[in-house]
Amino acid sequence: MATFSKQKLSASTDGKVILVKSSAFSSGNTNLNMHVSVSGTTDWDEIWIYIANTETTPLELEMQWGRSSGSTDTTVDMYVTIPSKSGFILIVPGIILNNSQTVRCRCTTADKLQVMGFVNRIVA
Amino acid sequence: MLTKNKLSESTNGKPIFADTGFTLIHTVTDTNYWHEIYLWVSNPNTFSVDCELHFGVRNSFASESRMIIPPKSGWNLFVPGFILKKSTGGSAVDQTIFMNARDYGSVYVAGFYNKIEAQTYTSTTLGKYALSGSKQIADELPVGALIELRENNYFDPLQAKLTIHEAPSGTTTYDEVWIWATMNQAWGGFTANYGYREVFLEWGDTGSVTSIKIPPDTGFVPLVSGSILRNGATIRAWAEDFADSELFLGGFVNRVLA
Repeated sequence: MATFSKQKLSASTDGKVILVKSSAFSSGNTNLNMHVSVSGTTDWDEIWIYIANTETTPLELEMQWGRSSGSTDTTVDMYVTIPSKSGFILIVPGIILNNSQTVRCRCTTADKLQVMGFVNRIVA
Repeated sequence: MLTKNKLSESTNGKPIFADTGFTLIHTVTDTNYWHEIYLWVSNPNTFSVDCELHFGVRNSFASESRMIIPPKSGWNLFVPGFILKKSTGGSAVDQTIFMNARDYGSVYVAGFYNKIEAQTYTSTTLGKYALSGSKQIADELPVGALIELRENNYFDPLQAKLTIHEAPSGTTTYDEVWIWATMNQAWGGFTANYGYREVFLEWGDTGSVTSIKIPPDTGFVPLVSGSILRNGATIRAWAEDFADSELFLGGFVNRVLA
C-alpha cells in the first residue's frame, strides 16, 4: 500500500517562502528551482504551490514544469499574472511529477514573488 | 485503495503539448478500475486559445466541450475529477481523451488520474460510481463517458428526456450526485442568446424541473454539487429546442450510507 508523507519544496528552508529570481531560464541557474521531484519513476510528488506578490504592481510569473534542474531550455510551460498584495494564491493544485524533474520559476522583477508550498510524497 | 498516476501520454508527469488537431492525452484500458481524471490547461501564448476536449468513447475525434483559455492565465482546470473505465462489453474500445487547440493555437495539458477500484454497478458497496446513464453506445454498462443530451423535440418530447442517473434501490444508501454541463459550440456572436443553450434537469420527480443556460466556450459548468438521492429515484435531462448533440453532461456519484 502506498504511503504519503508531507515534504517541503526542495528549495525551501524549513518550509519558509522562496523568493523568485529574475535570472533567464537560458542561464541554467539552479536558483530558479522551486522543487526537484522524487527520483525514479515509481514514486510521485504531488505538488502544491501558492504565490504572493509583495510588489505594488501585478507581476508575471513564468513557470517551467518538468524540465531538468540547471537546464538552459527557455520553454515556458505556464505564465500567470499575480495581483499585487492579494495574499497567497493557489498556482499549482496538486499536479504530480517524478524522476527528478524540476519545477522552475522566474520573474523579471526579482525577489517580489514569494513561493510557499509543500509536496505530498507518494511512495508506492 | 487508490493510487495516483501520470496521464498515459505524459512523461514523468510533464505537461503534454497540444496544438491544432486532436492530440491524445490519455487512454483508459482498465476495466476493473476507475480513472478519476484531473486536467489543467496552460496557454503560454499572447492570445486566447479555444480548446476542444474529447472525453470518452463516443468517437475517436469529437468535440464535446470547448473552453477558451485566456493567454498566460496559469493552470486552468478543465476536467474536475470525472471517472472513466473501459467497458467489458463485446464491442468495447479503449476510452480516450483528446485535446484540440483550435485555429493554430497551442497549449500545455497537465494532470493526473487516481486509480480507484470499481464496484459492480448495482453494488451497495460505498464508493465512487459512474452516472447510470453514462454508457457506451450499444453497451449496457455505465463507463463514465459524457452523456449527450437530446433536444426537446416538440413532436416527441418524451424521447428527449434521457435518464441521467438512477439512485440505488432501498433506503440504506444515498447517491451523492455531482453533475456538470458543457457544450461544444462557440460563442454565438451578437445573437439573441449569444450561443447559450438551456439544459433542463428533472430531479427525482416529474414536478421538479429546473433549468440553467450554459454559456459557450466555458468548459464544464457545475449543475449538481453533491445533492443526494436514494430509493430508486431518477434524474432526467434534456436540451432546449434545436440543441441536439450540442450539450453534454459529465459527473459521478459517491455512494454513501444513508
